[in-house]
Amino acid sequence: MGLSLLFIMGALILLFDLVQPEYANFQMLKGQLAGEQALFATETQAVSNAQNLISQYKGQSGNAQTASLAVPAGEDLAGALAQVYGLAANSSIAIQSVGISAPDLQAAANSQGAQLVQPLGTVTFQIAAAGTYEALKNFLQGLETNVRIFDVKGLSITPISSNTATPGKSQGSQDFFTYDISATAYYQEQTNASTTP
Amino acid sequence: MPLPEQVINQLSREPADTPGWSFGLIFFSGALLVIVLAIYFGMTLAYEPYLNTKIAAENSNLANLSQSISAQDEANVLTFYSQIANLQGILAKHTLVSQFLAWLEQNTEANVSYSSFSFSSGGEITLSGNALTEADVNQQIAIFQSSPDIENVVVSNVGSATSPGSAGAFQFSVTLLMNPSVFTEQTTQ
Repeated sequence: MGLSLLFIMGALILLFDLVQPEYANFQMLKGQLAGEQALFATETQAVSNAQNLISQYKGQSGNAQTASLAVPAGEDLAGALAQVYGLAANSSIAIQSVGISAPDLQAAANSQGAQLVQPLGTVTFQIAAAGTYEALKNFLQGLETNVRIFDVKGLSITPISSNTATPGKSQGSQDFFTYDISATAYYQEQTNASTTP
Repeated sequence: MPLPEQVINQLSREPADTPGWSFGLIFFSGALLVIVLAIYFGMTLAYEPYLNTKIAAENSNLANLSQSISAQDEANVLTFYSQIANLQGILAKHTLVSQFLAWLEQNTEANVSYSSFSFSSGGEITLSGNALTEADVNQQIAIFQSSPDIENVVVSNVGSATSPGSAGAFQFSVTLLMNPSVFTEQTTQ
């Protein structure tokens, strides 16, 4: 009888002091395992979507290159200057000077996915040039439709001589002007990774 | 009559002990103890290591999964997305000054020419012009004032031409506050 009581007492002590805490620990481990399995399933789906996106991106390499030309990663001042001079040469206007303002970075304004959008930078070119009115129009159209986007923020036209000239109309007066053009180009903050596939 | 001896013997015997019942109790309690011990050791020596192994395997799978996309590809896609999002914003505000020049050509009176032009990003245009007659000046100002593409017209000066080489007899200066649509989309005028 005494031995039986001893066994039962021992069983109860084992049950409450060892088995029960261990069971609680098990529940925690099983919860952790279930959580990690759910996370793995979610991550697998996300990775699958990302791989799908990457394959689509690789199929759009031409568009990606165009986007990189329109809004390059980094200021690419040399490229922008070359394009300005190239457009001027094609439009037959003579560039007298080009001033470049300090690059300015601004935070992305998009609300959706804004944390993924890298800050947009601007560089302003102050272009002093001379040429005919038609040449100016060609130059402006070239700037506005250039692959690297330029926004004309300011334009001033004055005749070369004191004689009255005629922007917009030719009435036999001298068609030669000096132009002060303020044009802004855009760039994206440079990342470590290359932007083209 | 005396009882038979067999009955006397049976009656004088002590009640029988119950070793079966006691053994059963000991066996039951011992079995209970053994079962509890087996459960405990089974949990600690078998099931817990199994769970830990499974958790480690899941962690390893997660780590492998995160490495299945190269950092380069990830950066490329993010950069492309960012460029498209930025382009969307830029193109929505893209100004077309050449479009305004075409508009100005179409909205200038025949005997009027301009000697200076200034455009600022707020859509403000400052023009100095020359006209043959005062009527031409008036007509030009009327054209500006009646145009739906102009939000405000400020005439700052009208007078006789003073410079000898001027194309017209009258000079005028005007400041126009243009409707932003003139710079952002094709006008039909």
